[in-house]
Amino acid sequence: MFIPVEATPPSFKGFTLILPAIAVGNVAQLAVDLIVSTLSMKRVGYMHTDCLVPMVGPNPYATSAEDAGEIHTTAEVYTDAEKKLAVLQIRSPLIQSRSKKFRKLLVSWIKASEFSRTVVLSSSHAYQRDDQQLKGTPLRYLVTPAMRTASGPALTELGWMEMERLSPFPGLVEAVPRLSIPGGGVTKGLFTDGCQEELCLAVVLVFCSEGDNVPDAFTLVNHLNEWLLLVDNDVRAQKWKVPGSWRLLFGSSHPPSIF
Amino acid sequence: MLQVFCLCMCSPRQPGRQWGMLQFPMRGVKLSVDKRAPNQHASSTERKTTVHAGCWRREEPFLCTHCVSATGVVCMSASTASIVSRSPSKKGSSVCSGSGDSRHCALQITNLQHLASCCVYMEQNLEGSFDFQNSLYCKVILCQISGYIEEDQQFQWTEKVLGGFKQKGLSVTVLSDSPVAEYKNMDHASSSSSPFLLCLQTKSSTTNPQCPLLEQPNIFTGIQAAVLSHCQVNQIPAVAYQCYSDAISPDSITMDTYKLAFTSVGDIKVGPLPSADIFNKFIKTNHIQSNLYI
Repeated sequence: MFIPVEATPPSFKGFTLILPAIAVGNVAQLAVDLIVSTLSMKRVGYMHTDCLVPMVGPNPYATSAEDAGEIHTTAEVYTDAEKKLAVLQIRSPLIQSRSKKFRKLLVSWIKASEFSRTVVLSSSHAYQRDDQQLKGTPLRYLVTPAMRTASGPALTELGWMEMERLSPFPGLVEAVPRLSIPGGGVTKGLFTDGCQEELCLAVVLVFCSEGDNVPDAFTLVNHLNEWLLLVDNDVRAQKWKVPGSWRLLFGSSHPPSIF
Repeated sequence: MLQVFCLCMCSPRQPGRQWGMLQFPMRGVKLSVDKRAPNQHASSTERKTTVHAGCWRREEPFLCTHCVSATGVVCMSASTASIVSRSPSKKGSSVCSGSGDSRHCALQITNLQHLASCCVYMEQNLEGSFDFQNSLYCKVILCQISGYIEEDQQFQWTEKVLGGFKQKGLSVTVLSDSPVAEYKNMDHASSSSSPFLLCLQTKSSTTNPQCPLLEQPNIFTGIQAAVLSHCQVNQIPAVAYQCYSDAISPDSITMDTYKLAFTSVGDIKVGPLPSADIFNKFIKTNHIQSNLYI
């Protein structure tokens, strides 16, 4: 559950919440890292729960030696009061048997905090795309009915593609198309819960494969920026600041003494 | 002020755990606490607490050799002790009543499913009954984890153990170890300088650690992460020390690295390392893993 850093809990009323789903290539989590690092967001609370594997580490967004030693935990909430933006970053995998409990926890927290809208960033396996999904952009979105009323026209105007409902058995005409997000983790569950609980929730996802997912994270966050305008949308400028925790993503290089 | 030391077993070598055992000669009795999830109930086939009678002088290590069991749990003996066997309906808390000069208590938390267990040793200055939940009279508590605690139980374990202490005046230190191959660094001199100690501390910690802080992109996982997260969130001063070593089995050099962890702790005096005879009593070396060349 949410535990604030300061004695007085922060108010999230009217804020936009961005949260990542633990999905293929951890693209959403990398994208959230870029947002927090670029906007120098301030940590306001912890999501202290048994649904996630515990981990701690030094400050991933440290800019100087003074704040480098500050420890950061598995799931934390950061805010930018000026932009009325809140971000939940999740840094470790979900414990499988508790994924439903985690979804319930998130939904009840979103409702209690009175966020104006929630954006779930996610990804899906590129190799499981349908024939029609193979063409064009790898980015998709989904909106709950409440969000469609609020922001549907804006997304259509941007030319975004809505996630297709696919037939579970291609070629079989009688099969009813359904929503499928393979590799998306809790994305589909969260979206379904959002529809049921009448949350103003959108999902923005990218089709990708496992590997070096840094370019996918940039693709996702640039796409999100077209809608939310988090940073100046100038194509020429280097918009996003890479955090220090992205060094040595694939481990140290080989020691020279082995040769 | 109450100091809690958690010794984690992160690898079969367990140098952190061994070092802690050497430096904390204590004696007491062993109890059981139900460590399982709240919706599970004690069964009638549950292991009963055992007490080994015997006494030894305070200068000697507390280890009683016949207590080392298959799970690697080390228990302690008490001069005269009586155990209150835990009633199945009571979960989480245990009451120990000692008699005579039994001044110290131990609490063993056993995971019956996975055979992982931990012992908590306490030093107290008060004779007579002792309530684990009331840590008023204790100065130092040593929590020794000898098995691997599964990822889905680490959070509950931490809540159960640390939740039993009053937060006022509490300070936690965690000792753990890791292979140096898992340490990410641009500088390749790190592997030649192993073993070395790094640490992380919570925001409310006022300790001035004598070893460098862990730097990005390295992280702590496992039970030390669970303990440190709990302390960070609940504003308990805590420091976690991790020793990166390339040694397969515990040795005196690796264990000596942990001395830095105790230099900034008030009352604890770090003596010289014990003799080889004492080491041999509880460190298994030349443990044959394979029967290929017997």
